[in-house]
Amino acid sequence: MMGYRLDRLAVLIVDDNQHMRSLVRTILESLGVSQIMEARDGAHALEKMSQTQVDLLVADWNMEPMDGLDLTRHLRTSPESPDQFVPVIMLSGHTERARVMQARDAGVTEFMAKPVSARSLYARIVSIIENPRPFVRTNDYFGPDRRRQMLPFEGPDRRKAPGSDTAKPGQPLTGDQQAALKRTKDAIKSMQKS
Amino acid sequence: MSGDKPKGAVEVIHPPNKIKARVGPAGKGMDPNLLARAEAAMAKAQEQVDFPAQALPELNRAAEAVSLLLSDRDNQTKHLNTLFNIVHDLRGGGGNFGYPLITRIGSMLCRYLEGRTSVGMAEVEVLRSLVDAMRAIVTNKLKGDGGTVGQELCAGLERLVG
Repeated sequence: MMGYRLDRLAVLIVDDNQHMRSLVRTILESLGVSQIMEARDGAHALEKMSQTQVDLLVADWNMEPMDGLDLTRHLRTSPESPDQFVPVIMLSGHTERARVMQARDAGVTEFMAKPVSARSLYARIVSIIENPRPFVRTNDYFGPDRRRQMLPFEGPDRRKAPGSDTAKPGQPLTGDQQAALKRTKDAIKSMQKS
Repeated sequence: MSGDKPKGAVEVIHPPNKIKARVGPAGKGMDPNLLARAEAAMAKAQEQVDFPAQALPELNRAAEAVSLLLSDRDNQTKHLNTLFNIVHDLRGGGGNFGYPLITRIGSMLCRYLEGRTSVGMAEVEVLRSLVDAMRAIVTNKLKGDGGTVGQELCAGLERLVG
């Protein structure tokens, strides 16, 4: 099967971790992308985008001072956005459903849970090429149509309702937990000795 | 954001498919040869990263944040956020650089912190064990599933976090 000519794309990688940027760059280069730019956070990404045309962003979530979520919101809704429609693939260690929904509501195009793989990144790029989603504007949202189930969450749904505090601070550990704590400490000690 | 739309109004926009225009009409789906090349290049790049050297200073910062939970109780929320952010980043990288145990234990810690804005002695003990376990893993370069030691350690920690 013949793939797309990805060498014509300009991709901006936004991540505060240099190793992760380097890994994503390696994948993109191997897929044939020739114009790859890097930014260390959201604000840096906007600066890069003001200087050059970007066709696609691969952005991490957790970054400072501007994280990937704020970057996406800025791109979608700010009057100063360099491109309201630019596709954003959000790369994150968050796998909980609530977090994925949060990314969707900020306007990300595709969500990708870490660890990153060549297959998952390639598949999302192809999906953006072949299945572009319309954009929707409502009173409180502007971004890709959220009705399409494009954001699979990977991993168990362990969400606790916001504000719920099932573990009251100061509650003592149960007998089972105390036994597990002791075994864990012993295991760590034995690792330190070896 | 359009604030002057009638309540409930939805405008649907079909922007031009700029990416499709850029890559051209030829092509369909994923090219298996290209994918194999990307996977091989990625595997090689992963081997070159010294994850423990990157993770250990971060885990030392995490241990410091855990200590501050008791010595600086007035700022517990701040220290819990610091702890979460450090461990969250590491759990993301662990799986990519040969340390899935860091991802597994890091996920336990992040889930344990969900919904908590303050902690007592018992919770601090749990958090300290999780951070100490991650430190022991990177110090001993316990790659992959960590063998029997790694699996027992994780099983104990899973019982601990419930």
